[in-house]
Amino acid sequence: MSSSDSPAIHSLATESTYDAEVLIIGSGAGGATTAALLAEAGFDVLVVEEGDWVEQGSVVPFSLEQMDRQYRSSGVTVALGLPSIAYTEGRCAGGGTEVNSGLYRRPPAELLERWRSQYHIRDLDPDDMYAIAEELESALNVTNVPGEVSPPSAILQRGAEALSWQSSESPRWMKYPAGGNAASGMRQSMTRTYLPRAQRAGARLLTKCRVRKLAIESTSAAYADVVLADGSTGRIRFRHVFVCGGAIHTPALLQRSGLRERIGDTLAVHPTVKLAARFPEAINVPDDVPVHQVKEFAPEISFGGSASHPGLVALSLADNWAEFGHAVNEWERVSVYYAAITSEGKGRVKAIPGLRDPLVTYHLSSRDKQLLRSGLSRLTLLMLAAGADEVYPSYHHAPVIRTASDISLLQRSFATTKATVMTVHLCSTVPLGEHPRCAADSFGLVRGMKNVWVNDASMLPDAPGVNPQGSVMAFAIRNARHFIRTERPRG
Amino acid sequence: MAVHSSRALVRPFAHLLLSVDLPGLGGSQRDEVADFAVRHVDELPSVLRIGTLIIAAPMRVVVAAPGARRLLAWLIAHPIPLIGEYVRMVRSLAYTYIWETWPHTRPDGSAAR
Repeated sequence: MSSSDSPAIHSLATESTYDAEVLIIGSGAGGATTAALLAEAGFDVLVVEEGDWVEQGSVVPFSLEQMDRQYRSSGVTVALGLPSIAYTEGRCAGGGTEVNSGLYRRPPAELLERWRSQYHIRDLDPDDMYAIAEELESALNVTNVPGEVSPPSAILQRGAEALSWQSSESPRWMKYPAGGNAASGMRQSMTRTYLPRAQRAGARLLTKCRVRKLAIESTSAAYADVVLADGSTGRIRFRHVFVCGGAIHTPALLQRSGLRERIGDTLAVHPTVKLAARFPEAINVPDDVPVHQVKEFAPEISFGGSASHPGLVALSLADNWAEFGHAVNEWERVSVYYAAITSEGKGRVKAIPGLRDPLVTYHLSSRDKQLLRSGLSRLTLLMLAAGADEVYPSYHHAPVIRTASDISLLQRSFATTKATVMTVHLCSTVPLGEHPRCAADSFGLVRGMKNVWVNDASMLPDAPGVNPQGSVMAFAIRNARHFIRTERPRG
Repeated sequence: MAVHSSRALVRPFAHLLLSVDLPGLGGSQRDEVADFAVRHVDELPSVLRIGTLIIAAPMRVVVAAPGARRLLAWLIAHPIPLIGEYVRMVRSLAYTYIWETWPHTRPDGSAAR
């Protein structure tokens, strides 16, 4: 085992006061990278994480146990609206990187250019970002599956080929043993990469420590009020703070601390609709997700595969159990797929005084609703082209689709208010840039503040249209380096 | 207090929903699934939990009313805003738990193999 593979040392938060030069709140894709770079630059770094440290391999991926141990609210979280959108967030050391699909996409060059010009982001050079991306890809061992992909992934590839649609394998941050296959990868999440690196450079990590609010006077924050592992309260004093709690809890914490201007008003997501498809042979792989994505209609619509434990297959059939329920008998032949869209809708995150969690809302635009209908129809066609004998779209009273001509039934009866709409990509609640609508400057410093930074998915200007972790990490590294250039370690 | 409320309000509803939806599910399994649903309602984010309990309160009255099964079957067939979301949430939790815990359960809830 190399040193980069060794589990990081962490401790439960039990003392009532801590001091740190830099406090980092959250240990996911943004927080862990920030911690590693700052600690290596000589800063005294303390990372606090609300969730627990869960050793990789100790829970089955995408299982209910994982939901209980590593997701916020056991995976049942919803942005209210018509329709409401179910979403999930990691809440554990490593954050979402411990529980997501592990698929990696660089931020597209045209996206970076659009963000730079539309949001007036200073010094955003695509070449620099791609140099960071290369560094990331090496650190995370971003690679394709050795050998054959899993059957649910091959289905996406086969369907796309039959329709002459563009599809590709998305690489993942995985290490595979020599001679390994799709099922033998070890995900290179934050608990395997940047958190151990941060700790080797002297950073401390406290788990089960929830930050209630930052104490702010004028233009600076001085300390954080926290709830410790044993339920008691404590205080962490710092010189700088990076808030990296994700697109919901970063703005909620800032709002609870009295920072409300332009914060939490621009939640962006990739809404998805789903279906289950039954094939003539056993294809289900319960504890993994397909690596192929179909990008023929990207960035507006993308298709991919979801986790397909028997419980999740049943869930996707539940919207019309009377017609679909029989398929659960043959869940080994069924897998779940999604159509994701780039949404023009917007959501909000609002901290409510006296309540622990914020109110989250999201409203789809008319175009979004049209895209979801179109996406589900095309995904159904893709499944039939791949050889599905029955397709079960996830909306109330949906028809069973057996032939291409049945798709017109779907188009007539689909409505987003009847559908199970979900998302796993949330971002943009504290967007960075110099444009007046941005809540942080071009490097994540919260407007009006001298020492409060944001460095997670919240800072992305809008939804990137691709798996966002690569974009989040590239921006986090860029911003951390800017911080290192402009601030000096105290020692 | 909140835990007590969700147990009193959600558990009887989950029981009835399962008996209508999955009549073959055994009594002890139904208890286990209803407990799972209650536990997850307790863990919902604050606003969602409050909203769920507000909807669950009148539905608890429905569960105790004569003809409750028929009324619930009608509500399942004709989802109306908010109440339909409540039904969908409890059912989603229940189905996920059942087929993850006992993957060879038949569509009517009975054990297959």
